Amino acid sequence: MMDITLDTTRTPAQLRLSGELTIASAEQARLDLLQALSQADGTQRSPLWLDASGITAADSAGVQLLLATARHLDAADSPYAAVLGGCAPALLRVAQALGAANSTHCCGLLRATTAELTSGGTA
Amino acid sequence: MNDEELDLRPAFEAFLVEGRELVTELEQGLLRLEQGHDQNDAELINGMFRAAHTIKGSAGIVGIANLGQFTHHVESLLDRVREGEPLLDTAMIGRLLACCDHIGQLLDLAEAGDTEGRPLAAAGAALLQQLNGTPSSPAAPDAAPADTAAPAAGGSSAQGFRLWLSFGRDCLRDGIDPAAALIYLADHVDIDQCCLLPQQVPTLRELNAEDCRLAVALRGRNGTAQDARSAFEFFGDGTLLACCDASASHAEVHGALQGLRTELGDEALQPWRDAGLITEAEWLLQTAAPEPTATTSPSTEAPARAIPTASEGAAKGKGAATGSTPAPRFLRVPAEKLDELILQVGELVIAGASVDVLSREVRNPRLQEAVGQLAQLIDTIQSGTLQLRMVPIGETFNRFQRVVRDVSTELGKDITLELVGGDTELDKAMVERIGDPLMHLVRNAMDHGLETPAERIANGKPGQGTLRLRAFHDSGNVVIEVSDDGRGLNRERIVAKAVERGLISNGESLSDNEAYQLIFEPGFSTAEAVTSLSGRGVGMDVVKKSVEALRGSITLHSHPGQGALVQLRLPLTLAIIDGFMVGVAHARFILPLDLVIECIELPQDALQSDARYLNLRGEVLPYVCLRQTFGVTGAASTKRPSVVVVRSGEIKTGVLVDSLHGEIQTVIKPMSRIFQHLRSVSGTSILGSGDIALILDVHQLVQRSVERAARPATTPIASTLATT
Repeated sequence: MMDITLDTTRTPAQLRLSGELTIASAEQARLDLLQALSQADGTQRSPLWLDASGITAADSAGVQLLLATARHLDAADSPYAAVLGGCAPALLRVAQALGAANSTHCCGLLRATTAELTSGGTA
Repeated sequence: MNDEELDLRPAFEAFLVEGRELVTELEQGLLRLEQGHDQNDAELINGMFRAAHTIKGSAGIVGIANLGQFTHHVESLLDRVREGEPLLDTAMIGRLLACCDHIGQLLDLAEAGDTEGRPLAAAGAALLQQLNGTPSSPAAPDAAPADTAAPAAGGSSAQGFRLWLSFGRDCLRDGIDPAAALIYLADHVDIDQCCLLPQQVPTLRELNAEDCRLAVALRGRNGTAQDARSAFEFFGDGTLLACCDASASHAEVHGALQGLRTELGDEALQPWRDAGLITEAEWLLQTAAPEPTATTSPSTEAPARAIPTASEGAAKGKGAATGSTPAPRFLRVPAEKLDELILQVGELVIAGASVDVLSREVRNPRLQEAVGQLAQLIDTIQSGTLQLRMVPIGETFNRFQRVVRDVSTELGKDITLELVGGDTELDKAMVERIGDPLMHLVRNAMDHGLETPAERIANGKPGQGTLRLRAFHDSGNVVIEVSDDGRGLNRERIVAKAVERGLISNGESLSDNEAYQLIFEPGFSTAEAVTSLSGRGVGMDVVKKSVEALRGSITLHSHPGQGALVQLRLPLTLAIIDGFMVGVAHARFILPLDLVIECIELPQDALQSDARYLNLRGEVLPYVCLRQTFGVTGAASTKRPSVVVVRSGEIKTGVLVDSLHGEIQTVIKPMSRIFQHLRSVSGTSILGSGDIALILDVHQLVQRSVERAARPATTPIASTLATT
């Protein structure tokens, strides 16, 4: 099961994904993500820090879901501009196998720079 | 460790059976070569090599190491023969035959539980020394075990490939994960590049999370297109796959991509073009403009490379079996399962007969038609299942090649074996049980019947004697003959011996056949010297018992100075009979239908009380009265008795009955052991009505009546039984 929590009290807002990102929970996760991401705080394209370091297991469905999320967040009217802050090894391995990961992106999401990572992305 | 042992047990047992078959095959090959078969026959030599090879390999797997090691040397030698070394002279063939025997003995030991074979180790070593001459072979064995073919990984030429995939929409639902297959592939080849088409994935709102909308292309630095395809074997028809070796021409790649371009649209594949996984030349394929790597073979290549779907890829492009006819496929089935099935079919036939009887009473035409169809189907199934048990006797006959060869050498006689009718089929159970009696008859013929070359020539015969095994079907029986062109049976000596042993007082009143039958008396033997083979007199009576235990009969024929013939007559079907039912009073009897020639209704006064003969259109027909034979009491059910004319071999006989009841197909229930002395009845059957009918053994019936006709007293069989 997947846990999706959006913490808008911080800046940038944090979307934490944890648990198993697999076919079993993919559809539910999709709905949860849509719901979380619709809680816009008004400003267009405010920064969103996506933390996927808590992912314990991932498969093709999971990577696909993140790709869809990235497309969603890329839309012109998207409330957020997202950056992938943490990426669990399990997720990275699958993404690489599918050709969805390189030095700049993972699952369609821009990867945080080293500087951003070390600063923890928190304000 | 225990679990491993348990797992191997079925394999072990299967190997014992298979191993023996392979040894036989090897032996047959060697004998053929010895008899002058072309030594350059590649197919024969290869077959022999493969047999040895399989024995060696399988023995190792099931844990009979010494057998594997021994056979390895045989295999090595055959390998050298395969390569063209002319090693197979008569002496070597003899040594190899001895090796076959040794392998058989090791199998016997293994079956008895001894997989080390220590008792035979010394003999084995001696054989191998003879086989190899100089101990130069040890070098070879080390290379041999590495036979295990490791899966393709890296084995094939490291050229590289490119792969383009659009995974089927349902593959995730089907439980197949593209990433898993890609990770597997990456474990076996080096992937240089991997590129996904992100725009194929719908946006979050539109996505169905369980669909698979992934399309990936990749380049492998080594490995082949075949390796790549095999990783995606299990993806269904929905997955589009295109794959080309690194050496593929532009036209090939272009053609391969057509399916994907059609399916996804040209624009979708742009990321792959950007990543260099599709070159512009491959994309555009300007046939007008000359290309440096110009494809000289344009469109004909393309269709061949056209997108094979994963299911087609599974066909492996190894090409359809070119030329070679598909070998017949066999299935190994436990005999008990087959027996059980035949039993059930038997019950089915009985049940079908009941239905048939009842349906006739109801007189519903549609029901009768349906029942008729049912009967047809049951008939077909019955024939089919019975056929399953039939095996050609040729396999048994072939074993005698070796025996005749060895024994004739041992006896210093020149004997050739002629086999006729090897494709005659009989019940498997019978084949197994007839082997030993036949063996004894063959040895007898060689030992006593056939003379030495010198004696033969002195008698104006060719120096080489002929022993003939012949099998054929006749009137519901299988007939097996063992004949030779030797001395024949000596009637006088036989009678003299019988008198000497007090078996008979004098032999004058005996017919020739009866005199010969004396041989079957226990303890009887006319051999002057008891050889190691026969002559102890324990053989022939056992042969007769074995044959009769199979409900068969054995007769001897002889021409003094010219030869002898032993004829075994065995029933063909053990389980179900096509019969003709007759009645005496309320009793019912069944005659085998294929022995029935005709039926005659008689006027009552046509029977003379004691004559046992009829005038059948000018022919003299002896007959048997069933009522008398079986001591049936009860009034005749009809005024006019009938005679059914039956055939046994060439002899015709009549069977006098009260009533005729037409054709019937029914299951034979064998008689229990209490009745084993009951002649003339080969079994019983349960009729549709629930009554029991006796199935008559026509041959026996005829025999007895012929014998009885020669003697004055006519005691019914029933009372004869009481005294036996």
